[in-house]
Amino acid sequence: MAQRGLIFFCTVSFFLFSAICYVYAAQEAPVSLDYPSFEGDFYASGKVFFPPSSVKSERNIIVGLTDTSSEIPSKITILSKWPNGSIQSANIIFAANSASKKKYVVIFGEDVLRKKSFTQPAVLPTVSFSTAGAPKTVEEIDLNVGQINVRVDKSPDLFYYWHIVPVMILIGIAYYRSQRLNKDR
Amino acid sequence: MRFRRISIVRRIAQVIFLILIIYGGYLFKANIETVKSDVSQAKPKTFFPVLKAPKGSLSAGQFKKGDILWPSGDTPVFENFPPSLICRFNPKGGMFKACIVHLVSENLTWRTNIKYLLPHISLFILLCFLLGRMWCGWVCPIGSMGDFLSWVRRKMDVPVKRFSALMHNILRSSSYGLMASTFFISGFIGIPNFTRFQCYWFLPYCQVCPARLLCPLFGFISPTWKDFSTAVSTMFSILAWLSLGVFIVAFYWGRRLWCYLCPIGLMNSWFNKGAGLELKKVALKCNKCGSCSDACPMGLSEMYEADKDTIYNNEYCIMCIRCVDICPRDNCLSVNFFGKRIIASKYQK
Repeated sequence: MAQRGLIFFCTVSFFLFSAICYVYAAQEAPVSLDYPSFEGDFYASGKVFFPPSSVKSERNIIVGLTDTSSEIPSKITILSKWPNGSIQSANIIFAANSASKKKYVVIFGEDVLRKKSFTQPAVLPTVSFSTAGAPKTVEEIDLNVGQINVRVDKSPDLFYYWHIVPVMILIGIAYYRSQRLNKDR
Repeated sequence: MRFRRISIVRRIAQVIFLILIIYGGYLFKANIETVKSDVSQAKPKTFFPVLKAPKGSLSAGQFKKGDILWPSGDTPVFENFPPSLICRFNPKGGMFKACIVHLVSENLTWRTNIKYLLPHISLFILLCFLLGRMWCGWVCPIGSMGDFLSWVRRKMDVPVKRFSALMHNILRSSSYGLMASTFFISGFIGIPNFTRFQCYWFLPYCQVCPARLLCPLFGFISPTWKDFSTAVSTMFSILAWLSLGVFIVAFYWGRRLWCYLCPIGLMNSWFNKGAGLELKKVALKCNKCGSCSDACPMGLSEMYEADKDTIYNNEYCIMCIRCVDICPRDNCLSVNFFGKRIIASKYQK
């Protein structure tokens, strides 16, 4: 009897633990960082966006190395919040070195707790990064895109606007017919 | 026993449309996609433009498993909006994209240029102009599910409850209120300063529509029954339960009571009086037996009350043609299409 109870308890605990892990599972956003041409330390800075209800405090956000997931010191400033109070976007700064060219990841979620923070002790150049499609901060990057050719197709205007004619005709006939029915009654 | 030929044809049509609309994604998707890709290479401009959320829009990519509006990720076979309750949450995208309320609501939020909506609106108006609310009576999958519930009620010998005109008017007014508030909220969250509300208030009618909860079940997909993470999503979860409850109870009590409340039916009804499909009564042949009034699933009695020859196109009439089917007098009631008789009542022993 006691053995059965133990098996039942273990099974329930396992499912409960799985459910909790599923609900509070951490999410990751890989950092897309273009290393500068100079060799040495620099600050990587970027604006990161979070889904609604995913992060409630900046303490639930860490920057880690992709290979080892070990945390590296970071400075996080909240920029905007969702209507429910969870974080919508935050600016993240961390120190990197152009010689090592490591890959970083932003990890966030209820089960993540930041332990290492720093306060930009040195004056170093800053390079912007982005995560999963989030735009880079425009004031800090220079892009030479060369010549751009843009072809504007103007034909869809006429192609779609002609539908106004049958729409108006149909509405007109429907209205006329409904008035005719009203008169008959 | 009378052989109800039209009712049988209608039941068969309802089953066929239910399968086509809900399981269309399973039945036709692979073939259609191949054809579409070939066409798109030859001619990039499509007759019915695909309507998509603007880049960067909160409503474009935020939905994931667990969100109320999650199962909307699949693309349908046809990107069209027929005048019936075609749910966006049909399994595997379904046959058609969505209902007309979804079209207007979504594109008000996205601030889509009207020129891209015009082909879809013109198709909707054309179909409504031709057949009126026949789309509700013969095609609507939710209506078909409701008719099934009514059949269950009949089998359980529960008497149908007749509601007063006042009750119908209250439901009708609620329908206008529902539609107006849906479009207002959708337009409001499309204003650039208020886009942050899109994460909770996008497609407000879909969030409470019973079809959102019922249609995914046909594909064995569990819809998001509840989301208590925020006050707004909690409110929508509770409203969705309430509307599902009202939907089931309405069909259990009286026939097609929900159709008075449905905003899609409301938009169809604007064209019902002027539609090509007409019901006609020859008063001289009527013996006032009241069969047509008793059989009407919308609980209408004007046809029965009419004392002179009349073309009867009430805005509430869903053109199920049960009255013509059940009328015991030869040629007393008939269905015309732009004046040409299609079918008429027939005496049967």
